[in-house]
This record gives sequence, C-alpha cells and structure tokens, in this order.
Amino acid sequence: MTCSDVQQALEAQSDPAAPQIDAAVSAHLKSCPACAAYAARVKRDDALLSEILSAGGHDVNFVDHRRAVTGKINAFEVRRGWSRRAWVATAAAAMLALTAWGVVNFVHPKPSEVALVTPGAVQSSDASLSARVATLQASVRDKQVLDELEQLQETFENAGDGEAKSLTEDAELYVERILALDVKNPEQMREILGGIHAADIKARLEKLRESMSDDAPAPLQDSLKLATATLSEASDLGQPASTAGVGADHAK
Amino acid sequence: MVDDPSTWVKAAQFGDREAFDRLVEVHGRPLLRYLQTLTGSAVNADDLAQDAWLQAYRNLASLQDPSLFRGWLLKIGYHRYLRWVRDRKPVVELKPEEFSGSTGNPHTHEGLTDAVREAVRKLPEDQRTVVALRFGEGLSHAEIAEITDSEVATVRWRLFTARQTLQSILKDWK
Repeated sequence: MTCSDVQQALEAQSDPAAPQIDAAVSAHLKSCPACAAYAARVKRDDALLSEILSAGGHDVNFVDHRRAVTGKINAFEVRRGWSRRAWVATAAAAMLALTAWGVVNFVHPKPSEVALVTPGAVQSSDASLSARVATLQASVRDKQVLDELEQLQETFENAGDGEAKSLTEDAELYVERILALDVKNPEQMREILGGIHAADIKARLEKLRESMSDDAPAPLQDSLKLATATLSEASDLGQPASTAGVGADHAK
Repeated sequence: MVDDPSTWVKAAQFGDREAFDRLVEVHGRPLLRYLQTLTGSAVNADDLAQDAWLQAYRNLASLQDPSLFRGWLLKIGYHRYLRWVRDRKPVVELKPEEFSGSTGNPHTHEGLTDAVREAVRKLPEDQRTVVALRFGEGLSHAEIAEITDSEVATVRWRLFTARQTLQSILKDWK
C-alpha cells in the first residue's frame, strides 16, 4: 500500500458512516511517520471544523424566524383556499363529463372494444399510467417546477398582471395535485388527471406564452415553457382515451 | 404524540400544523446554520430558510419516507441556495495561496473560529457545500451525495480538496 493509497483511504474513513480503519492502513500508519502525521492532522482538523461549523445558526432571532415562516405558510394557505374552491368546481365538471362519457360508451360500446378489452389489458393500462405518472412526478421534482411557478407568480405580481398571476397560481395547484397522486391508485389518478384535462390549463398556459413578447426575459419564457410542458403531459394523461380507454393500445 | 421525528412528519403530511411547527422548531436552527455557512450571511440565510420551509410545507406529501425528512429539507435548502447563487453576481473565490490573509488571529480560539468561517465562505461553492454538510451537520458522504446529486467519490474528492485549501488556516492552530 502506497502513501497515496493510504491518504485516500483516510479520506474515505473520515466518513462518519465508514467502518473502522482497516488492517492494511493501520499497518502502514505504524511504519510510516509521514502518513501517521497526516492521519493525526486529518483527525484534528475534522474535530476542529466540526466544532466550529456545528456551532453556528444563532445569529438569526429564531422566534422572529419561526414567526416569519408561519406567516408565509398562512399566506400560502389563504391563496390555496381560493384556488381550491376553483378546483372543486373544475373537478365536479370533470366528473360530470367523464360520467357522461362513460354512460355513452357503456350504452353504445364499439364492437371492437367489447372484443378487445380484457382484464389483463386493464391491468396493463393501469401499470402504464402509474409508470407515466411516476416519471412525471420525478420530472416535476427534478426540474423544480413548483419553484419555477412561484418565480412566475412573483414576476407577474410585480408586473401588475393579475390575470397571468392567477393563471400561474392555478397551474401551481395542479402541479401540487400531480405530486400528491398515488401511483398505486388508478381511480384517483384518473380522477385528478381528468380534472386537469377538463380545466384546459394546458391551452390557457399556451395562450399566455403566445401573448408574451419575444423580448421577454429568457428565464421567464423557460419557466413558462416548463410549466406548460408539465401540465400538457398531465392533461394528455387525463384525456378519456388515455385514462379510461382501458388499454385499447395494449390489446391491439 | 410520541416524540419521534417520523411521527411528526407523518402528522404534518396529514395537515397537522402543530406537527409542522414542531418540525420547524427541531430542524430550523440546523437549516439556518447550513444556509449561513453557504451564504456567509445571517440575513440571507434567514430569507432562504423561510423560502425552503414554505417549499417543504407545500411538497411534504411527496416525501415517501418520513425518516429522510432531515436530508430532504437540507436538499430543498441547497436547491434554494443554488437559485440564489444563480440570481446574483458571482463572488470572487480565493486561490489557496490567498487564504493565509484571512481576518482574525488564528492563535486565539475566537480568531481561529472567525478565520475558519471566513475561509469556508471563500471556498468554491461545491467544496463549501460538502464542508457545511459534513462538518456543520455531521452527514455521511452518502447523505451528502444524495443532497448534492453527486457521486460519493466526488464528495470525497471535494472534501479532500477543501481540506488542502483550509490547511493554511488550520496548520497554525496548536
């Protein structure tokens, strides 16, 4: 074992989750004063850095900080309360539309569907929907879509554009709904995604994008594009053919 | 309620505001400390931590394993910090040979503390982040890798490099 190997091993073993120092490293340290001194220095430096850096965090008045956090959350809840009422109305309309669609198709099923739809196909469709929703949720988290929407709201608020701000608030609520979807619950996914589709949020966001001038700041355009892409995907998943079409594609 | 962090997280996920307040009480100072180490400013840390808590509140339902709340919150804080960095003018990072000119007398403990904090603040952003998480919050290399979306080997390399850079300050401490 070379001195370089030992120093790398010591770095790995400075990990609090690392196992005890291994025998080969230990043997080298006994026979190499330079590495022994290096090991002692690493240990001492780590202890000192931990002591200094773990002692911070007291420069902010914590009572005021907590109060500010509570205030922000309360303000958010007030906004969400308004949006939720709009959401309930939209979801009710979506349920009516889906029910009407189901009745029409139940009363007049297409012969090809009657023959092709099997329980296996339904399960396959559920699995496919779950996978696509899980991918969408991961994308929302990775790309921090909620953050981007919050930035958009701030921008539109500062610009005094209440309509655009309200639209991005709606979009934020729908994205939160996407994150809260239970991928093991196909019924819930269909209901929520169907609501997003029925709300036509995709078209409303696209209209907002079209109305923006070309010289609007690139980050603003990028954020809006990201939000539109996310809700377009959710809207597509919420189309009756996609959510309630019980795997006609798989059965072909 | 049993004083188990996961229990508070689960309750907060079901909309229990008291449980969420408890999470702020328990994890608030570490988050502030972490963000203060990253930004070098208590005021900025206060602002960023408030934003991070709001985002945590909004996204809490998406946290699948409540026992991972601490790392998840620090990751939110880290991403909020990255956005803050992106939106402001870049700071001038010192080269290792320039570190010895940091403020404070390193021969006194108080001076050393100031000098180390200043030196950490001037580390490149990627090294500062791993140093803050490893030594400020006591996280393992794997936990740091998860928060910073990087490999464990990368975390170790950044720690190693940061350690070399900080040597010029730490070597004077007896």
